[in-house]
Amino acid sequence: VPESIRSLLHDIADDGSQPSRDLASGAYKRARTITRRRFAIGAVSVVTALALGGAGTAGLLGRDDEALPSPADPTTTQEETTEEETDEGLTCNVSVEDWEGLDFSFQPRGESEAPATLTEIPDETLWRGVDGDVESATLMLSGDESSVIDVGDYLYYPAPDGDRTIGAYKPSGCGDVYMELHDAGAEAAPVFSMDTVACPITWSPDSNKVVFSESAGERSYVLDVSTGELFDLPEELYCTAKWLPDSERLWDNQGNVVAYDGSGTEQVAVIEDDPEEGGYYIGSGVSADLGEACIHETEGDSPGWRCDRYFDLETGEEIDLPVVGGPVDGEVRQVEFLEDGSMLIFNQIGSTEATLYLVGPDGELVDELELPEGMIPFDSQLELLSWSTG
Amino acid sequence: VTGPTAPPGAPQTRQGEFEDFVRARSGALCASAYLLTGDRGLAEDLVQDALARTWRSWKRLHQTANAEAYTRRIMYHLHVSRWRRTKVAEISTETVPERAGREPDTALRLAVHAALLSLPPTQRAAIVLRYFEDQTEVAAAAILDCPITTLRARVQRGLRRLRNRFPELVLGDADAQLAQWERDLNAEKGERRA
Repeated sequence: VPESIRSLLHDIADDGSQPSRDLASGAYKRARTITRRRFAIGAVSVVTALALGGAGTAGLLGRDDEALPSPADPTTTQEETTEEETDEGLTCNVSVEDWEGLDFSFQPRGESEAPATLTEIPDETLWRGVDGDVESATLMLSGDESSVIDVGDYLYYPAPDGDRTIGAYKPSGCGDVYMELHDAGAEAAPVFSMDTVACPITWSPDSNKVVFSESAGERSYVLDVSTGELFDLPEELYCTAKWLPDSERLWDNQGNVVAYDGSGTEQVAVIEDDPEEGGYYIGSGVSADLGEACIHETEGDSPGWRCDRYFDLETGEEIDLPVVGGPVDGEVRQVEFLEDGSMLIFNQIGSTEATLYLVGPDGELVDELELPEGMIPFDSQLELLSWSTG
Repeated sequence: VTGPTAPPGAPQTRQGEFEDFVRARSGALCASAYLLTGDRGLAEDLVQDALARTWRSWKRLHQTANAEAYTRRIMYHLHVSRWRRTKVAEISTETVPERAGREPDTALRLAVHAALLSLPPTQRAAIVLRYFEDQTEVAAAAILDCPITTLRARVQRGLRRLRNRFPELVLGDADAQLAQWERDLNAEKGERRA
């Protein structure tokens, strides 16, 4: 007896329509795991010496999306599907794992210039504003002028040297993100496409390496742009890898430290979650000598890497931050540790006051900058993403 | 089965709303997921993962009544992504045994499900969206984040494979659509030759 496709599908689906377990309970547990491993959208983190100076910045702000190379070459993501295509898996979501099969290799770009040591607050800084609904906007502060740079279909992740940038093309026809690498004055190169994923894309402070993640397979990778080498990071660093100030090591939010090629796991002490208190503790920063660390406390989605508590890792004691002191209700802190032992401390009070401090290796105040009035989007928290060392 | 335990600190009202949503919609979500995965356990894993992401965004979602659409979209994306790496649902129609003693309609259901599972995940998802969930082409394309032309091509290829395997299968309005696609394709080929 002929049967219709609709009635057959409904008959088949009936067999699976009664869940055998408590899905809400499982969802809570799973959400907790995801929160540990993947920060909220917009929490693009903590590259310790990104720069936005020179031609790179100008190129970013003046870039015409139409002038960019098509994401279709060589990893076709946009073209309409045609009858001749037989394997959709190769036309969408081209993973770096497929490079070899596609006979694609990344051409080495050589070493970037070493970043300069900060002696004052940089003239150019990049920020992300995240509101209560985790909607975000990227802003650049240049002198006293701030401007939004999320324009067109590309999101930009500039490297510290101001020359290199990863451009993420969002509206691919396959639901993925297409990535390409730009150099100031050089032709953009296609890199890869991947499933949409809300993991940080971060450059090393020396601008030679970049971390990115693929949700399929849940892996994070380091692409060494200077040599063209690709490294697969250990599973525990998926979506959580942060550069240490030396550009040689990464750590995850639970205290695992590895070399950027994925070797040599080392553990630094972080405090454990306190089930009586509730919420999650996430390592949000560690000093170059692994002597101090910041902990971020969150109940779930987070607007960024915050320094809610500051610890001496040698003694295990909680200590005050230089200049701004201990935790204060209504104040939000972020700390960026630098290779020479100094740090940038960002302190936001409500939605109106925000100050960036440069603090020397001995805890002394070197420079400070009050952010212009009106730069904080309504009901938002700002996060410092990068700054110019050029 | 113990009751759900929300993360500490979650307001009770949000938790209650989320659990009401799960109770009301998990059956429908699991049904779609079962068609996509072919396994009840995998289907529940898939729905649970999608619900976890929904819970994380609940504050934003419940105010706009978009929770189900969001969950469904996440579920389809997770399904396609997982398949690419693990191919958990890669089942050949040739491997499905002809089970003696099965009622004819049950045997047909098993065989059709196996044939559906043998399709590439994007084609499978497109067919489930169009012919199980009765989503419009526009809505299905939006869920899968692809152009309508791509969605049509996926449906067309999937239906053709099912039809080749089961010539007796009635595709209903899909029959007319498939015939129209065939005519369009032949016309296009004729134009190219000319």
